[in-house]
Amino acid sequence: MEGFVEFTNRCQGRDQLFRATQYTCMLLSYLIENKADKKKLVMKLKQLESSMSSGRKMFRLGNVVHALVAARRAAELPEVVPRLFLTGSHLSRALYLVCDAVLWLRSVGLRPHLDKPKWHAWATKCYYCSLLMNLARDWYEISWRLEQAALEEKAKENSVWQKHGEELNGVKSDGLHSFLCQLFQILKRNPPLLLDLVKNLCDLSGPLDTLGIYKTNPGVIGFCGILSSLVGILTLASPHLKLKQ
Amino acid sequence: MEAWVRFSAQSQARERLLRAAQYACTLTGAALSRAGGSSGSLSRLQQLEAHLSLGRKLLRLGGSAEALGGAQRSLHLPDPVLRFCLTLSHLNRALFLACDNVLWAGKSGLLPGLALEKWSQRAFRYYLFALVVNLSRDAYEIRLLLERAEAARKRGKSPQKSPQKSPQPQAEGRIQHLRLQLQLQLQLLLQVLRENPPLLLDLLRNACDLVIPLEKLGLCRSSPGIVGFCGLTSSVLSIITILHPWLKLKP
Repeated sequence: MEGFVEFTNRCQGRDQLFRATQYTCMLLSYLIENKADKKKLVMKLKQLESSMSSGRKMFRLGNVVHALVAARRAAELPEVVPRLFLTGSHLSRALYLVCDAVLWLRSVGLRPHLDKPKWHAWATKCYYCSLLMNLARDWYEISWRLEQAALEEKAKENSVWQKHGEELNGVKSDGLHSFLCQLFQILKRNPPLLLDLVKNLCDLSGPLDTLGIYKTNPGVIGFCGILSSLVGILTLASPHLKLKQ
Repeated sequence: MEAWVRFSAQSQARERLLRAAQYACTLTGAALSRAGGSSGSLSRLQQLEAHLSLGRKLLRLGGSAEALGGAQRSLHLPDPVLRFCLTLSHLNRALFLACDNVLWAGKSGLLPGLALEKWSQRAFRYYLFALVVNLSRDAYEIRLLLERAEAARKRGKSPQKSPQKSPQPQAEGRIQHLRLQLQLQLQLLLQVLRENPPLLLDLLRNACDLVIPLEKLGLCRSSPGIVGFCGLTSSVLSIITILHPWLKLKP
């Protein structure tokens, strides 16, 4: 119980729990939508989902500052590529949160004449941009580790080559297979990187569908949302699993 | 900006901000209706207030666990009065939050057949009990501090007594004596409260909060303006205690 209290005392912890609930409702209502006798349950699930969504929008008010502070911190990173991508990602997220706040103003009736579809599209684009930059950063992390692994492989091969001469002539494995093996090895050795990659890929499903780039269905979005929320909860509960920024 | 990040990372801090905003809406609505504001802006304020209230209820989901944890911790306090008061207060708060969670389920449509008014009254009753117990605890702390201050004052006083043998008739002398005593007690009380800001803040906060359930349960007639003002004041005092943890009354 102490752990639960400590976890939910932080806003992010509560937000991730609500997010997981929101996407669970989305998935469940998609799965049982077409069953005739479950109409009431589907309605309740949709209501719970919309409660969670609007509540989370309210709690996010003021997170623009969080994103700007994170962007400022990211602008001081030593390496150029992560500095660029992370600063860009946080700034995009700040813009997304501004659009989100505007949408909240409309939903509570303070600005009823705002163009909801336009602001929703802008918010989704900013969020999508932020996710792409996060994925670019993940890819940079993976690629330099791949390079390092390739260099180590070559160094090992050279030393073995000198010992065994031409015996290793036919051991050149096919490119894709060895690439995938190395990728798998790198991700296995770096759980924070793996978790961040999984989270960003899962989060991508929502904006891809909304922007019409890759249409899926609420079931897929719900499932991906649950997965990414679980990763979020895991990284909050075990901070050593969070990818250092 | 970093300070805001640190402050708002706690969900209690956000909940207090939303509470302040909610009661600010109540106060503004009351002021506008007295000043003859348009029904459009009044209804918008009411809608915002309802949204903020529902949002706060969502944020408080699972808060009973924290209150029960607090009750468990206060069972180990050495002072029996504090132990009793704090445990009872936490238990009442846990019950209030449980009713509040049920109200959230009702208002957000999960339990459509729920008797909202009945559960609302129940929640306010538990809230009122918790506040009364908190105020009793404050009164106990004040009494202890007054006794200590009185004893210190008597020690510092000169050993010779100065009996005032006034030539005035006895009854008037008694009234004046009482008035002097009262003045002295009041001065001592103000001194004690001035020297103990956490106790003063806690007392003010509980006193302001008391107005809300009294009004909602119909025990005390007041206006939405007073409820809004008291709610806003107590929220601001809460925010101050979150920003400066030394101002929080321990335990």
